[in-house]
Amino acid sequence: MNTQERIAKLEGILARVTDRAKAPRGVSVQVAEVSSHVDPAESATPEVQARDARTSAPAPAPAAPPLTPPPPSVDVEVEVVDVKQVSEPPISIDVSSDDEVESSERGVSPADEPRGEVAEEPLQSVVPAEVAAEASADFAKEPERVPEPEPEPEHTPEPPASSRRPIALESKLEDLAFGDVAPPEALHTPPPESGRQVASPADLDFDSDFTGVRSKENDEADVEVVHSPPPPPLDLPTSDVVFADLGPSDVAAADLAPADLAPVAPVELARVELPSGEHPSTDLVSAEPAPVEEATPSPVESAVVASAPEVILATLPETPAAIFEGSAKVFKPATFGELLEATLAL
Amino acid sequence: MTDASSTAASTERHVTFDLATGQVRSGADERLVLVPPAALDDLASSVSLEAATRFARAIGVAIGKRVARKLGFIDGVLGASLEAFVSELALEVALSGWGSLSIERWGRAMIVAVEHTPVADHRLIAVLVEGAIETASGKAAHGVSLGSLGGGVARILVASEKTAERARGWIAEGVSGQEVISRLQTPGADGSQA
Repeated sequence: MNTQERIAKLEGILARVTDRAKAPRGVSVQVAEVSSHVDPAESATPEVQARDARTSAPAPAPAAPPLTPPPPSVDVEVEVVDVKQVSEPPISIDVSSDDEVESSERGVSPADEPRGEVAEEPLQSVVPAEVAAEASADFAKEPERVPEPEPEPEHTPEPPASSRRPIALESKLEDLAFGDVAPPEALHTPPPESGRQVASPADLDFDSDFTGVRSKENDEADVEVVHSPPPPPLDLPTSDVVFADLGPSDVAAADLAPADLAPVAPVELARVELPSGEHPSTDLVSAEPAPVEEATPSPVESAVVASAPEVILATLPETPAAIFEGSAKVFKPATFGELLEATLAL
Repeated sequence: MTDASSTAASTERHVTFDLATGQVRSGADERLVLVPPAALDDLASSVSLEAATRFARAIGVAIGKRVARKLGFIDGVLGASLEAFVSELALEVALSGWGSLSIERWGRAMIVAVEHTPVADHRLIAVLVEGAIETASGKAAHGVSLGSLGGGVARILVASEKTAERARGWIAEGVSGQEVISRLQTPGADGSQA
């Protein structure tokens, strides 16, 4: 970037600054600093110059620019950041030159504002004289604003030890948004997910007539009753007695065996170990109950008899073995004569 | 409003001290003599046991007469309740200064207990009780001292002459008073008959 381009940018900046200065909202501008561009040789004293700049604001200063030609050897480097950023804070330009008489009035800039690069460069070498004079005249119109004194920090009592929690230092928002900084971990464990009330989806459809008990008609329509093929006739009286108490097997099959389930009762019965390698009966899901035979005891009954002894209770007579007649004689004399006779009879 | 019986009892004078004549009379107008207990002990120790027994028995007879007179003589005494007889007998014994009397029933045996006796020899008390009951009831009764049985109380067994003799024999053998009573309650014990 050459000098012409920089000058063009500076002119643009000055134009914006001028527009901003004319705006109704206030801008903290220190006139003294602007007036410091005036050649000190032509001003009586810095204080008088500053006073004149405040009081005679509309008066132009045409003679100032030609009297102060910019030194050719000065290298000005201006960084254009943003118009808003430049225009928002109060403009403070520090001009320091060995040739100038140091002014007693200085602009008060915010304490946090860094001073450095731009402040050390003489501004009059960059800004044209007419533009500076015009700007100074415009700035002189603005009332002087005295910066408010910073309030003294109040002495706050030290918080108790219980409230001294570690404060998490957050990263800058830019770093969090665009940088590589990992988001900070949560200080506390989030509440469990199970505590939340999960809303049911809107399109969830329930069987409105389902109450836990279904009518038989529906079951008959939906459930396909599967009947196992009738078993081959067996001569063994194996487990017929055990299964006889289960009742009609067709009802059990209709209630217990749904359509999509295979009958499992014969499979379970096949696991029962029976003596002499006999095959169990498959009458559990059959339509007809197995006949009960009373005469021949089954092996299961034999096993029960072997494990539990038969108890024979004695039959006792209902009449008492001993009979108590009368009552024990208790001597309780009613008169003195009875007692005297009793004691004399001893 | 006063009860007639209570009024009669309150107005009745059990002992009258006639200071003008120097006489002490009972309610039945019977003359009494106040004797210190030490004199009785000296008399009992100086004279023979028979003389002392007769002296004490005479005192008991006098007490029995007063009780019989109050309760209606023999029929009244035998028909009176235990509480009424004990009350009248204890009253007369206390007025004479021979102690506090009560009756205990151990099974079928009647035991007369006397506390605060003026004499140390309980055999005199036994003779006194014997004379009082015999005079009041009209039946022959004998008193046997069973000892103190603890607590300094003289316990007198009232029994027939035969039974009294057995009890005196057991006591002479060293049998305790409770054992004597227990033996009397058991028929045929120790070869005797109840």
